[in-house]
Amino acid sequence: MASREYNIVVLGAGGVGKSAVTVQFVQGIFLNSYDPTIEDSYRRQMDVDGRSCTLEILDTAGVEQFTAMRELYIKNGQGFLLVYSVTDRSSLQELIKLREQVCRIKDNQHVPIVLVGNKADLGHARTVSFQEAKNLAHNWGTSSFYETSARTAAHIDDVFADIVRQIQKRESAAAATTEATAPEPMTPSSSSSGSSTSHGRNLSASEKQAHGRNFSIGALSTSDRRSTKRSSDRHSELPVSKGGFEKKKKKKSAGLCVIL
Amino acid sequence: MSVSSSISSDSSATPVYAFHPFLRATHSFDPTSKTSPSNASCLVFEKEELFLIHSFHTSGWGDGTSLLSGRRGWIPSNYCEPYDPAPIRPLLAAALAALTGPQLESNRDFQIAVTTLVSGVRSLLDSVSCLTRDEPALKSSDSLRRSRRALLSDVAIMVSCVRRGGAMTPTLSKELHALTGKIVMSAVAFLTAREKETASFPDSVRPLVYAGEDSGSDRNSNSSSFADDVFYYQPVSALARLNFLYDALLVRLGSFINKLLVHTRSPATLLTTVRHAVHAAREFLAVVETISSHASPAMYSLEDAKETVYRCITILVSSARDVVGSGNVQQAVLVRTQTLSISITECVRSAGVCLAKAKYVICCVGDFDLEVDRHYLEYRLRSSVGNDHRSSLEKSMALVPACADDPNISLSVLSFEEGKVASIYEDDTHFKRTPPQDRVIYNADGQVQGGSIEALVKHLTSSNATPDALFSSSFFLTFRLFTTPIALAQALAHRFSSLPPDEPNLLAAQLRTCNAFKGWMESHWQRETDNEALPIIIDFVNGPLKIHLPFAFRRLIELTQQVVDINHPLVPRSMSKLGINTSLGILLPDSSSVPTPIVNKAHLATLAKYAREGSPDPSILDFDPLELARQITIKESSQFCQIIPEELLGQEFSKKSGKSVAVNVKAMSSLSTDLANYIGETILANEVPLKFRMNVIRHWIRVAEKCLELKNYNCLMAVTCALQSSVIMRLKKTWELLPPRYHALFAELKSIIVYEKNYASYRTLLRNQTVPCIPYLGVYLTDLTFADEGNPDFRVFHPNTEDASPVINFDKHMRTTKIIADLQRFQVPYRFQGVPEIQDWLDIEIRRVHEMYQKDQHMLYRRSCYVEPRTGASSGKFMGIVGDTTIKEGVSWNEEIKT
Repeated sequence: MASREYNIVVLGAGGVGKSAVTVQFVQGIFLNSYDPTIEDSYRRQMDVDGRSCTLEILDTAGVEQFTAMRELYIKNGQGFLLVYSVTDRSSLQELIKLREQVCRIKDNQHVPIVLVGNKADLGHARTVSFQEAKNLAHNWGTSSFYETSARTAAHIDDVFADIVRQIQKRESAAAATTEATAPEPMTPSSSSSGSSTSHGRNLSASEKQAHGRNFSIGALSTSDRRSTKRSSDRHSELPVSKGGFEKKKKKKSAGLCVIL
Repeated sequence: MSVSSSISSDSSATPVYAFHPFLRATHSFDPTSKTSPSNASCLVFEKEELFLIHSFHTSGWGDGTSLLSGRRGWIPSNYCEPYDPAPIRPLLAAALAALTGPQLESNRDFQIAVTTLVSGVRSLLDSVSCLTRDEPALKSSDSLRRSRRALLSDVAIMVSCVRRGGAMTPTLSKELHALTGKIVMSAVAFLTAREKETASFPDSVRPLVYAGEDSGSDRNSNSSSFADDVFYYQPVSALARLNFLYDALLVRLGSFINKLLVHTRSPATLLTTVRHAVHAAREFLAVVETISSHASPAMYSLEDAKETVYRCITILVSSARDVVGSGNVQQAVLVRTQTLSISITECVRSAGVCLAKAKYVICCVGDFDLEVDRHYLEYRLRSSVGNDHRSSLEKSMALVPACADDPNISLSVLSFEEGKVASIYEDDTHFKRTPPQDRVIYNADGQVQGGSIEALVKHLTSSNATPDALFSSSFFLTFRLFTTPIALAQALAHRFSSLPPDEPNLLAAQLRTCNAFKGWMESHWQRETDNEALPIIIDFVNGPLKIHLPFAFRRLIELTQQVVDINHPLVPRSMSKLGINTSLGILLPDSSSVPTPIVNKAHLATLAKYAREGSPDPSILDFDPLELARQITIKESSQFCQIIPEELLGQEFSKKSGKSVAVNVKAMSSLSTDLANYIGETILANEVPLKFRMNVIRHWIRVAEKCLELKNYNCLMAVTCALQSSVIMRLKKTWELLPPRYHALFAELKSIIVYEKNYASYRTLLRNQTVPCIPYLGVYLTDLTFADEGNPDFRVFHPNTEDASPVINFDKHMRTTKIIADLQRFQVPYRFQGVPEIQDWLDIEIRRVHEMYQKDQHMLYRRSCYVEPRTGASSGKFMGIVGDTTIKEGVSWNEEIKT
């Protein structure tokens, strides 16, 4: 199967080491030399939940000043990493504005976004607490939050896997919305039939995996915790039609997104 | 002079149906309008198109290739006439050789082919008195100047093509054919323009001298006596002299090939040419000998190389003598062309090797001045014009085969040249050996990747390794990132003092250490940071240096004073500026061909009034798109050319303004952003009909198109980004009005710079660009950021051994330097005339938009929403997040302006 391509945009103020996050992800381990001028400098293939994905990273490093260029990247990006440095409070403030811009350009409040606090290894110089950033992510709604260290490679791959899952989730939701707009009114029972079922099952399977991974790394995303709770509640009530039920809920919210 | 009458006398003696390889169309021809049975294989052509004929059918149809389109097919010979005017004959012959000759096998073949073509062009320009741009004929005629410029720019493309190097591929071969065709067409256009010129002003210009083959007036060869050709010149440095003579020798050998191929085969001409070549070779060998006498015996290979050149020249002379001595020269030349060509090729090759080795010696012992007691002949190389001994074309010609290591040459071509040098030394293990105590990491290509500061200094001043120009530029540019000036000064001084007395090349090593100090102070000194190292340097100069190298003492002590007094590089930074692309820069048209600005007085008056009184607002539509693109380009170019390497190091440009030295980079980025905002503002400026708004968008698309023509990619990027910004793209109704043609054009413009695959297509495009050109700055900034961020400062000596002590990762700094060198390649200004009124107006508008945007970033978004309101239920919600001021749907235009 050909691997799908995802355009991931890395945003953040200059000097927060966001390009180090990109390099770390693309290179895997820190090599002695990195050539930024070749075609594959910003591409990497990775497996997310057993599916092969190619990630093209668009990093505004060095051109933060040229805002028009940033817009172009945002316009073409599907998922966004908003990177600040835990040692620089103003870099977190900057992200609030950047997220506004992303939402405005995408014309949507629920864009796949991961909040990333970099330089977590510099604990002694920390000025932004874990909780504070987590709260910010919580306020943003569905956004995930990780603290990373490009130096030690901590959580770097998780960040990118998370954003890919968010994009996939959003796409299947959008696909479902298209169905929802069909003339036939949707009911819980009808949603469990046909192709949408498979969509729903895939989705929940991938979600489960996502939870497992988030637990293991200890930086639990706010959205995932909520959905974990929900799905476990439901699990006891509706073990068979779980996929379909979740599906329906999703359809509604996704539909709202688009209309709003 | 008409074409038919220009066919020289000897060709009139041959039968009428003599085979002429080039035909020119006297009428247009379109086979579809004729009832020809095989019109599919016939060429369609316009009047004056030129063809290369491969064969004639007895019916009168010729099998030919159009030089304009490169297509091959049948051509009715009765629509054409032979094209063979004397001035262009050398060029046609060269083109014939290039187009029909055997498949080029090596890059050297390619270089020879190009040299021959270039000399053909030169001979054309020379024979119609247009060789230099100061010629009266050129000064008086615009059209002539234009066509000459077109011709030269085609030549420049070809020269740049050969300079790229690389293996001979069928694609490259095809490219050469296409370029050859283009050059010939441009040359024909030029000659036609010249003929018209002469016809219309018969008295105002010098009469054309169309040199007949045997008339004895061949200006190229024997009109000037040998004594005219040289004059005495004050002593120069050995390196400069060596380079110059090598160029001179190549030009002369090239002109000899030219004579052979271009039927100028009178014995006298041939002999003169050979004599010129021999003379140049003698001077060349003389300077090589002087250099050789400075070398240690270990460098005997230079002597060998010198002997080889001598032998090759001797063989050439004896072959030439044989040819001339035989009764029938024409016949003999035909028979012996092969032998002569081989001899010449051998001469060129051996001279190249000799040059490289001589330069190696110079780098080891340091450049020195030649003695005063000998006369040094300077060659005028035939185009004697005022003080400019070497016209631009000759320079380009000389540069074509310049394939040896030249530390003064731009870095951008170094990789190619280093490769050459490496291959020359391949068998010479002496040059590859590195002492084990040198803790320097090399990569597979022998480039330095890392080492301690002491080891790097040792490499910098090493007397027994091939000197590495890229290394030393990188070193001096970036050393402040990994060490301090004090530590460097100490390391250099220590290196000098600690050289073992039994070191085989002691003098050479001392000289190179001394030269390192000299280079640092001459071209790379940064007063703010480096002055602290001065006491150490002064101590060194007054101490060990004065004892061991008294002759170098004076210059260095002078320098220690000068660096304090003068706050700019003492020696023009041809080296530290890394990559000014002189070879192509010199082919730029001179000031006499600056295009006249496209403006009208009324418009300028409006602009001036606006600058004074602030109203009425001039409409962007009143500007000619080309002129607007030019004026913006002047602004950007001046900003771009001011960028210095130090701004690009260590992510300086990402630091906050005020704390950053990257003022020019920041100014340029900010100019692009302001320009993009300004474009948005013009589109959303006033309450105007949809149609008008569409017109403004269309106008900017036209400006972007002109930016592309001017090769201003930075501005192209600003305009296309601005038009693609969400505030503009969302104006669906406005875009619907835009004619399909402009939609297509916009799509094409957008596709020039796309980020996909890390800008792969744009990078390829840029690689072949000639100056003037403004590349998109953002790509460099991103590259530099990642080179800095993606490569650690330190690396271990050997990853898989116990020796894991970290050393400086010099590879990181080499990468950075290469990126900077590529940027510097384009730091050549445009030759456009600034229109003060437009420049002032641009300043005012950009400042206005800048301030407006500082105050309120969401103004354009609000205006955009006002112009074409958000649709459906989605409206309102997002208005809330736009800035501090919450806006309600339906507020009036004026209210919005106020906020």
